[in-house]
Amino acid sequence: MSGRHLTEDEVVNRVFPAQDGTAPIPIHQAVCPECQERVARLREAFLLDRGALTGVVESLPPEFWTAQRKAVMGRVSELAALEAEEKATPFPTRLTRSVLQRPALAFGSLAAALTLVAGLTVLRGGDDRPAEPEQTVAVAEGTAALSAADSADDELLRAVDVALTTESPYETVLPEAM
Amino acid sequence: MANDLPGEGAPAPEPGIREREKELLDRVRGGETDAFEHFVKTYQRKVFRLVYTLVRNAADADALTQDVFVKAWRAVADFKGEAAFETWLNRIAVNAVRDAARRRRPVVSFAELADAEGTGGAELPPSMEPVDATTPEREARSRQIRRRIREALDALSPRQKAIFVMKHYEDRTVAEIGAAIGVDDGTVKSHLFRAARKLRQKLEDLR
Repeated sequence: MSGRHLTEDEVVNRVFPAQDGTAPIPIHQAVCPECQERVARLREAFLLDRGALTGVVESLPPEFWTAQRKAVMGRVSELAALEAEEKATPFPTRLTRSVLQRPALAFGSLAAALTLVAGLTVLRGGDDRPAEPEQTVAVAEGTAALSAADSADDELLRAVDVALTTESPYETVLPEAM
Repeated sequence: MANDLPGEGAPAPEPGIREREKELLDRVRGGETDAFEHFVKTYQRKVFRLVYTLVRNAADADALTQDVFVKAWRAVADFKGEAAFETWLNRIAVNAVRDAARRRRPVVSFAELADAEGTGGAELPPSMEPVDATTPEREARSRQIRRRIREALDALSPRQKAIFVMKHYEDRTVAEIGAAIGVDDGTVKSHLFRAARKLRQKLEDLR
């Protein structure tokens, strides 16, 4: 016996080669009944299925193909006629006809478009209106806080001025006991 | 990517046939719908076979084959003729099967129905179901193997399944498959290898 047994991947590749053409048979497989059996089993299962499918297609009666061809050509002729009619019909008539032919679709589309426009309008309005008072409040609060801080600073400055003008230079920094 | 060009690697039809098809396609584009019948007649079996192998249901395959040709007719203005017409049809067919599978996903499949009914394969009317009538045991085993292969193929991704079927059931070359699917040769080979391995794993216990 030559070499090791075929791996699962090698068995698969023997039956379902990923490349075109047939790969040469490994020496081992040529002499190993066990590996031959593994390859044959998979190949047999596949060929059984393939043969059955081929059999189905080949056993279909000529009437089947004729009927299929007629069905295709019928649909094609119908579509061609519709297209020709579309081309020959002026735009407003075409629009009216499409609305009449598919009223649910036409009015559904219209309703969807109107809903979208209404939604956008509400969203845009909703964004603006609450924002204005919020901004006003924020500005007012900010202004109030700013003016309170300014007043405190002013008072402190005034106190410093008073102290400097009324007291001696060291009076405020020297301990009373001194 | 070189193989993204449709038709590259596709089988070159005989020059006379290609010329004839080009002429007919021009007539179809010019509004002569009858000229399209030539293409239906020439390719309907091949398209049906590919679709049937993918969907395993004769009625669905028939409907999808019709859709493929109608889609081809509608898109014929876009067909530049760089690819073989057959390759282009195959691409439409593979896409049609994939789209149908997506639409049908939430619905119980025919295969599941068949299993639930215990028939093991109700995808064809009894008269069309291929059987190995040698012995009842052999027939049962044949049905079992085919059902298992069908399940294994269904477990593949739609693209992997299409590539595997085109290679091993339709005997297409790697280049032809790449042209029909729109991928390069390396991707086709990679899908083929992975698909075959998955199939092997699924059929492991069929001994």
